[in-house]
Amino acid sequence: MTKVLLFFGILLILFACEPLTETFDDYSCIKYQANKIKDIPVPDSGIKVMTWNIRFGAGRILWFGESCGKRVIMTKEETILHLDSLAAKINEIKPQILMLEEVDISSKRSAYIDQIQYLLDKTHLNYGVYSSDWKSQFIPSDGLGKMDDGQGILSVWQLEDIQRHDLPLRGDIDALTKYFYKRYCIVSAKVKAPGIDNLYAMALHFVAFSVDDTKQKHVAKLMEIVNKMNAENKKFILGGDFNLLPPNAKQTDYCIEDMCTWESYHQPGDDPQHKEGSYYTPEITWMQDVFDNLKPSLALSDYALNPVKYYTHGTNPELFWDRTIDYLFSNSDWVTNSHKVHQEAWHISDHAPVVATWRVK
Amino acid sequence: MATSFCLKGNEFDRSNLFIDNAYPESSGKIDVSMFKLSSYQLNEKLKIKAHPLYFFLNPSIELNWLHKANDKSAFATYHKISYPSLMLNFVKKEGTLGIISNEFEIPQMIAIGNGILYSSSFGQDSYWTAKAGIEFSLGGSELDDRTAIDLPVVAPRDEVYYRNYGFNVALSVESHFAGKFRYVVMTEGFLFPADGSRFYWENSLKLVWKISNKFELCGGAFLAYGQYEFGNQWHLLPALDFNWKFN
Repeated sequence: MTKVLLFFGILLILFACEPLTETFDDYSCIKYQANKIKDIPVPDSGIKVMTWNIRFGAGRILWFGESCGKRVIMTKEETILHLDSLAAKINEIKPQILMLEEVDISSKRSAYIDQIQYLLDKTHLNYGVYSSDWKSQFIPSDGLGKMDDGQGILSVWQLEDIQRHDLPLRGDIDALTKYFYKRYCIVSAKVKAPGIDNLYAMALHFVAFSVDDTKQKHVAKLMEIVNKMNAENKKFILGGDFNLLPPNAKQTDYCIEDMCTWESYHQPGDDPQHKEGSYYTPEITWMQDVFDNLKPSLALSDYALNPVKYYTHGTNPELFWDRTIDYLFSNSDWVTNSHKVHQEAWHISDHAPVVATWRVK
Repeated sequence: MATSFCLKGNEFDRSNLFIDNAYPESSGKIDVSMFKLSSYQLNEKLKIKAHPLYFFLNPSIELNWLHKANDKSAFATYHKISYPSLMLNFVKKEGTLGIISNEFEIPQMIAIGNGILYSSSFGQDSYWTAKAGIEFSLGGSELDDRTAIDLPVVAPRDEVYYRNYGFNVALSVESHFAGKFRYVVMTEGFLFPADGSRFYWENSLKLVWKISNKFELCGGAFLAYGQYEFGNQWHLLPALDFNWKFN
């Protein structure tokens, strides 16, 4: 009898093995709270909202993945230095709701620092939620190792009813790469701001390097979520890195700007002809749906008058921002002319923080 | 990934143990496994151990020196030297299968380990082995901490290069289970006291299936605990191995 039990015991525990990569079939978002709760304001006529892709606290280092660099793993000291710069800028701007993209909570590349907790403890913000979109025990590529990277929402007010909304996987990569690759998502949470019912914040990060219609599917999924929220009479503020240009952008091809010294594009015989993540021409209409159905903090007409003023991203740290791919939207009104891109934050991330004031009704 | 094997077996003797042990091997016998070192009895006192496949990528050699043996028990010391730089450089690369980032340099390093082994029998066809040792590294002070491979099985065996020295203690038991099956239970702890200290603990429970006098299969579970740079973590993994004997 002992031997039979032993046999089945072994079988049972073997089925308990944890997978190498999280596929988010049964994933729960994480709630955070600052170690010390600071002032909890009562909103007056507006709520200051910010969205920022913080590039996992890498500052402007030449990281191998997207800036023609060789760096992969930061030291703890340099990660903290970058996070302190992020915290200082957040404290300067003082948003009441902050959407973060590319935030690490336990990744080897950023010294395993929990960046959500770090920023909550170093800023005026009190509460946070996090949803991973890239979580793996060990990525056997380029020395990346352990990874937990995703989106977060930080707020001075409590957050509840947190949900992760899966986005379609990239369709243009092989199965092995797909298994270890990012699984993009939108994270939403109800903001318990005093005097405001049913207000939700959403943070998103669309796929960056797909060359098929994955991004279009991401937009379609977003509109599904938006329609559902509208049907449920929920007010929401949405911010994020869409990796898509405004539909009236004049320049749509950044292959040459983003090209590394050893790469070649647009020449006869080049394969591929265009750099992944830099050729927006076939995608130029994909944001139209979002602009048509939601209220942007930045009107397309304002953008058209002076696009440079609203650029939010640049891949080359030696050059200025050169495109707009980060936005704020709502199904309710913004305070007129409140949209601002803090382009002076050049050295802190490869994306600029985007701020606007949401009108409280 | 689990494998369980069901065949009939018969008695085994102490020269055919799956667990690490202090007993001398049968004369002329060599065995080859995926994960265990192969051992060969040089003379009545000395046993040499190395992995015939991995040696060329991860050179490591161990000598077991038998000091005392009788019908029931044996006492030996072990002395080993390892050279990990070759393997670490092999997995340091850009792209897929780059386990260590190519931005780092791997210095020339060796690790030297010494310890004691005591094996004894109990009951019928049951054996246990206790092992304790110390290991220290030379050349590891130039190794960047960010090259650490924070995975079970690997981390406790590489930690000595980051922390200069460490201790390990192990206890293993092997006994007849049923027919051609034996069971093996092992527990091993690794302690690295320097620089804030790190501790790892491994446990395994396996069944060894004697398919023939020359070939055995082993399957089971491996439970590991580790204090990694990112925090403490348990891992439950499948354990698979084979044993191919040459006389």
